[in-house]
Amino acid sequence: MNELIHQPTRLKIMATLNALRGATMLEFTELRKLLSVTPGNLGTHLSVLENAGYVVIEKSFVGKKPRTRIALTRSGRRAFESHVQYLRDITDAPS
Amino acid sequence: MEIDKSEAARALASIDAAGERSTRLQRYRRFAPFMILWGAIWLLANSVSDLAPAQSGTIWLVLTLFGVIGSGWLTWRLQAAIAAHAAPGRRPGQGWRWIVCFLVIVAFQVAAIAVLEPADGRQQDTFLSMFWTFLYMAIGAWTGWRLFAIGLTATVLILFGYYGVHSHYFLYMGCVSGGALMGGGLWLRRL
Repeated sequence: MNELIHQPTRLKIMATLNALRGATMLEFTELRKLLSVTPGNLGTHLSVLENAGYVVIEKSFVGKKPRTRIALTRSGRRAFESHVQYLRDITDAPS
Repeated sequence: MEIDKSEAARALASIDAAGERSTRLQRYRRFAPFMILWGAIWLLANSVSDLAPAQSGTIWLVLTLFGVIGSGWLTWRLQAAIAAHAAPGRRPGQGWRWIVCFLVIVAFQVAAIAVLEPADGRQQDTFLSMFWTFLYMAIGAWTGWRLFAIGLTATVLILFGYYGVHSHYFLYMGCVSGGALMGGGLWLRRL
């Protein structure tokens, strides 16, 4: 089991980013609204995922306005899919 | 750490819910530019039809061609973005199918108008416009309630206009229905 991903907020972050099928990166503010979490809370969890190499965080400026965008890395996608399979194996196992 | 069956099921449900929200957001974002484009065409073509009825046929033809080319370009751009960011093993987008679908629908409309022979431009405009707004509702039933709501609102406005607005009907159609589509497109882009 991947305990790093299994934490509830991080699980939602990974699921949200994983569903971005080939789309552009998701902005920090959009991700925060989708998950209904505080900026501080989201930032903390994203740092954990970034340190694990599961997400990439891109910071830039649009004019004078800072912009932070997030996407799943390939290893992050693999780790997430592997964790989902682990969960399915548990639910599918005979009682 | 081991987890039991119920916790695994809860985690999977949470994953499904988060994924669903994210997917819906993407669908809205992809649909929005098309809606804004066609809302603007609707607004412009109807307004010109009202102000210069003699130029109506030409302006509709030109703007519809512009819309088809614009839609093709938007689809190509979307597919390019998907291909550029696609994860390994994922099937690349097949935007050409959307273009074919769109052309099939336009061909159906042309055939339907040829067969039905509407009594006047007002009837024809209402039929063609309503066809799209009903389609938005049908697509909305699959992709998300906002698209359904936009289709429903635009349909009600069109029907109200057809039965209730007798002078400057085309201007009404352009401003209200075209505006509803453009506003709807902008709404789809918001979270």
